[in-house]
Amino acid sequence: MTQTAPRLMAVDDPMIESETLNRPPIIEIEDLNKVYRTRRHGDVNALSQINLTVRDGEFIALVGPSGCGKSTLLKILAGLLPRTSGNVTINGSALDGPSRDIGVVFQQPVLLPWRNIMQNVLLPLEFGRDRTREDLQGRALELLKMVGLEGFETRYPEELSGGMQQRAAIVRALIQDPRMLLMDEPFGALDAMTREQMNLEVLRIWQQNKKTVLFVTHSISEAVFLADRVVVMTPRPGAIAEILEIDLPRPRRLEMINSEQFGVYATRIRRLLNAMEDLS
Amino acid sequence: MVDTSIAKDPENGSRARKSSGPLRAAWGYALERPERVLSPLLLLALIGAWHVAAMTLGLPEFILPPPVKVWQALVDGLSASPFDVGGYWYHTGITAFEALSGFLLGSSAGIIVGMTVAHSRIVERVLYPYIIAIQSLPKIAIAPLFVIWFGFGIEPKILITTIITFFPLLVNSIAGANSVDPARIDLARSCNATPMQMFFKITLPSALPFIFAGLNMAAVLSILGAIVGEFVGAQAGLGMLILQRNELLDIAAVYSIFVVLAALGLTMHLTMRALERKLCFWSQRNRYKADLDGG
Repeated sequence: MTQTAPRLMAVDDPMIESETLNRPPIIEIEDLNKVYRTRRHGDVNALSQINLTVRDGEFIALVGPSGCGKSTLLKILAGLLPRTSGNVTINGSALDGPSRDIGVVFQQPVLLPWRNIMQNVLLPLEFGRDRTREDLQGRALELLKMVGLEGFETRYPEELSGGMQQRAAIVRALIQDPRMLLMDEPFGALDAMTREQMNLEVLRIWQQNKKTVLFVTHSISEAVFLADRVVVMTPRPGAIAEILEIDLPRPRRLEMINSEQFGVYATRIRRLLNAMEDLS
Repeated sequence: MVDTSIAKDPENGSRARKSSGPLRAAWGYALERPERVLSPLLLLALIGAWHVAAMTLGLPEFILPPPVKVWQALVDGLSASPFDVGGYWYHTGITAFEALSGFLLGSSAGIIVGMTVAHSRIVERVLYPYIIAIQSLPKIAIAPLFVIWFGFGIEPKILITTIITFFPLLVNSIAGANSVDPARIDLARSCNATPMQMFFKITLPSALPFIFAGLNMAAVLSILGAIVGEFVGAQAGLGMLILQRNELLDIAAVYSIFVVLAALGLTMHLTMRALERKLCFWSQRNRYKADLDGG
């Protein structure tokens, strides 16, 4: 284990990293801080000095215990929360509110029960001041087919299983063809089997559509399985403890979870997280 | 032979239902929805008991008229033309109009004010204690005042009904607007929803089950409001008719007007239910599912 550990710092390895490193950055986060002002506990530092550059097409997993600010970070990037200080540049321009370049997948599917699947998937087109009256029904059908929901267009959310609902939510996030996908523990509520299936699905979507994905999870194996880089975060205040390059071949297959290399990454992350537990 | 023995066995109700024959089908239906059979049977039993009591107790007719007399009064009242001031249709029309206009005015005002109040935290916090205080007041108490202000026409009745139906919708609309899943709001905001889009596509539909709970309450209250308004002073309407027949000691007629009122209330309730099923189908289905899970 100790022998393989240095290999994790794969940044030293120029051959492997050159491809992603050469891509232009799409999200740049500089000295980001988020402070919540509460009456009872005074100021709470949710995020402290976050620096992260995400390259176009990269798959990033944010992992950490609850309260480490990973969801807060995602909400700031989605334009749902204001930041206290720091610079965030998305796709070349400073972040100010929700952007069409970003699709968000929440912890719950958040499908509206009074709309059928097709109407739910097309919902984002009905929002915003400068709505383009484009007909994306064809694209919606295509995306639904891609996630295996063909034939469910006129069904209502409650008729679908949890996994199917979350697939529909992914299609909704993709409908306006955003360049980035922010996913906030999207499969946390699903059973282990469905979760594995969904992970494969996400990888397929990511590879087919060449999106940049930021994926928040508290599952270490999910993070290692999915990501190019895993951002390990510590709580109180939420900060980045370490960023790990995951040098596993693509396309990822479920068997890789049992590989030695996978175990090394997982152990390393677990040690980081355990060390935090000891500190607090 | 074997088949009939199965059909008679209540344990095998579902099996009996599958086999043919109208009697067996009826039996299976009765087992599946016992209330559909037991409810009318209960009514028959009550009327029977009433009849026996009227016959044997020897009470005077102005205290307990026999059911047959009530039935006669009902038939008499309903066979008059709708323009006949002595018949039931005319007065039912007046009362229904008062109740319905008050219901529409009061509940729409309640929804609009409720949604506006809920939109602003500070306005809500300032107004809420007053709303609760007024809601616990018996608003019927101001009915006599309205007669002084507006006279004996239908206006004071409509106004009373408006006030009575306003509050359940005000309170329920506020509760509904506050109960919207924050994730739905986040979703709309992440898509750059304008305040109007947020209201019409997220807040209002999410609050609809609450609004319908208020509407169901208001539907019942609206008839109450109209009747009480008529009691205080009126020239027409079922409330006025009850008072009139009461003074004539025509108690069978009073009972028969109760039947008309019950029918009016039931019609209102069923209309609301049908509307709720249509507009709020998703929550209805959820409720049904929850019932199944619970039972």
